[in-house]
Amino acid sequence: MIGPGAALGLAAAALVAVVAYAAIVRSTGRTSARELAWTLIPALLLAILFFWTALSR
Amino acid sequence: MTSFARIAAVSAVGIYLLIVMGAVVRVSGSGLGCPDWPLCHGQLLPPPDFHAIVEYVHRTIAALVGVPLLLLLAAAWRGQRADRLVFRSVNLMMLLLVPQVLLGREVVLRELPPMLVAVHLALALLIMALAVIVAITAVMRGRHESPTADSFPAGLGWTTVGVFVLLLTGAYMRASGASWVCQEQIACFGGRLLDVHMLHRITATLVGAAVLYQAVTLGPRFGFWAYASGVAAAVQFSIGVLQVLVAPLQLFQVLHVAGGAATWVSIVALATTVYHCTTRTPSRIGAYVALTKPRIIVLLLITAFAGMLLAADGAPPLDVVLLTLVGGALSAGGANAINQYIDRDIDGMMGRTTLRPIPAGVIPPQRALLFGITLTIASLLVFGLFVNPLAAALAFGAMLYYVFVYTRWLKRSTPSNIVIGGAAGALPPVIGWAAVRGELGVLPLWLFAIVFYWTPPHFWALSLLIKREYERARVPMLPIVKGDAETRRQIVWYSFLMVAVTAVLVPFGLMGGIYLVAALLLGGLFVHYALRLRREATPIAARRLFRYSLYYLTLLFAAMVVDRRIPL
Repeated sequence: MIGPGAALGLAAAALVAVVAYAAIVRSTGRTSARELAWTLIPALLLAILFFWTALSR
Repeated sequence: MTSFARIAAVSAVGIYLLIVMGAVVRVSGSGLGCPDWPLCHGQLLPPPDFHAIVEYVHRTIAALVGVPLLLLLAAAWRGQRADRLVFRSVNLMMLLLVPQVLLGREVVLRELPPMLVAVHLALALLIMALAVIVAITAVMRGRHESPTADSFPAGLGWTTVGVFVLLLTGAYMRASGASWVCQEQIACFGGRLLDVHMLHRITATLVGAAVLYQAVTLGPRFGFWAYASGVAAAVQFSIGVLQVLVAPLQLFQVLHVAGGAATWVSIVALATTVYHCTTRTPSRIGAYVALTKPRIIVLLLITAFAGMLLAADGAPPLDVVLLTLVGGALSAGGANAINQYIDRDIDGMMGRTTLRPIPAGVIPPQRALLFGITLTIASLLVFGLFVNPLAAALAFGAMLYYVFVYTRWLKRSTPSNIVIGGAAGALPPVIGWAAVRGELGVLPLWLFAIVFYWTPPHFWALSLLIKREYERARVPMLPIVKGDAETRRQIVWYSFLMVAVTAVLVPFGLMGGIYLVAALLLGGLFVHYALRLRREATPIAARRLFRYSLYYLTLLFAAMVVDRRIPL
């Protein structure tokens, strides 16, 4: 079973991935800032869930 | 009369006898004559005890009634599928039979909780009404009668609803212990019990008058069932008055239930007869049902039910389950009706939605809005008064989100509409959990996440199929804005993400081995269909994924429930 530390680590990694993804997509200039924001919400949701689950253990 | 009509008639008579026998059980105090279920004192046959025999006869009739009902189901699937009213009524009857049998068991095992007894009666009345509808329809289809009325009289519809409400007030009065609080007087007011009692009397007076009015006005044209309903209502009212003025004799009590059920049978039979003699204008009742999008509601309720089962770690309290399902259906139905009000301009442009009640002109827009708001308020009352404030707040929040964030804002402004808007549809398992526990936890949030990530591939598969319609209505769905290829690519990514989210529950200790195997198998098949869609790029592949996605969610939640019961 994943412990709190590992879960927090996963969440942090997810956040880094989200930011990196945003930077790459934005750099191509294909997506508006608004659309990018919408795209990021599901990823952020996942990161928050990881944090929450880690903190609740 | 065809054999199908005969089986339906036998079913209706059997259910009627069952209801009357149920009254005998209750009035004679034999409800716990057999304290166990389905055996009686641990044996197949009851001991030589009056109460045990009475209860045993009730159960025997229940078991016997099952025979014509099963025959009816088989006959409907074999030869009545084209008759939508008959086919749907029979299937609904069998669906209602499942909770009804479970309720019967709960009533005995939990030693006759009054509200459960009342709900048990209400379900029996609904099942009997469906049997009557099927029987009358089967008889009338054989006669091929020409229409004799221009439109279905609204007054008759309301009177039928009124009779059902009246029977519910009677059952509730009985359950509350308010039956004999106002003897030998015309009216009593004051405490809660008196109010409950007077509610039944006032309803009886109003509904009784309405039934008599229908009998007098419709009798000359429709004959037997019109007069039967009038006579049954008059006799029933007289028995009620006799109970108050003379004495609450056991015989009167049984006759009162028998009279109530007879009035119900007659008015349903009359309404069905009139319905079949009416020229086919679009059904108003059917239109209001369509306004709630019942198919979507079923899937939402399945996930809410799974949330309840997981929260209870076993069987949740039956009253909470029923009230949550009713409240959930009202909330989702209200949100869907308001959604159709807002989308009335674009619904008329799309082939899939052009026959919806508002664009088809069956229901005026303002009426639809009022209907949606009414359902929403009713849902709030059910959740707030009978479940708990958290479930009420979540259901109301889901409704507001669906109407204002998704329908009003996102749907027409971004291709991410169904990704972000999908949050509303992901809330039912959380609501189900909150209804049982009264609080939230980590697991319901993961259930939310699973439905949230399931929504995009599910919806985009559909939008690939009806892309042209969305285009005509200028709804910026992903295939229109980014193209089919990009949509298929995103479907694959979201499918992988969804499967990953479902699997994460295991290392977090929220689910066990059985669930993991099911999640990987079901998820693997999901990804397989998504990849195949990307490769083949055909409408058939899109349809296959869309259909599978519906089964997927139901099976995944079932696996969770099984896993929690049998942890490995």
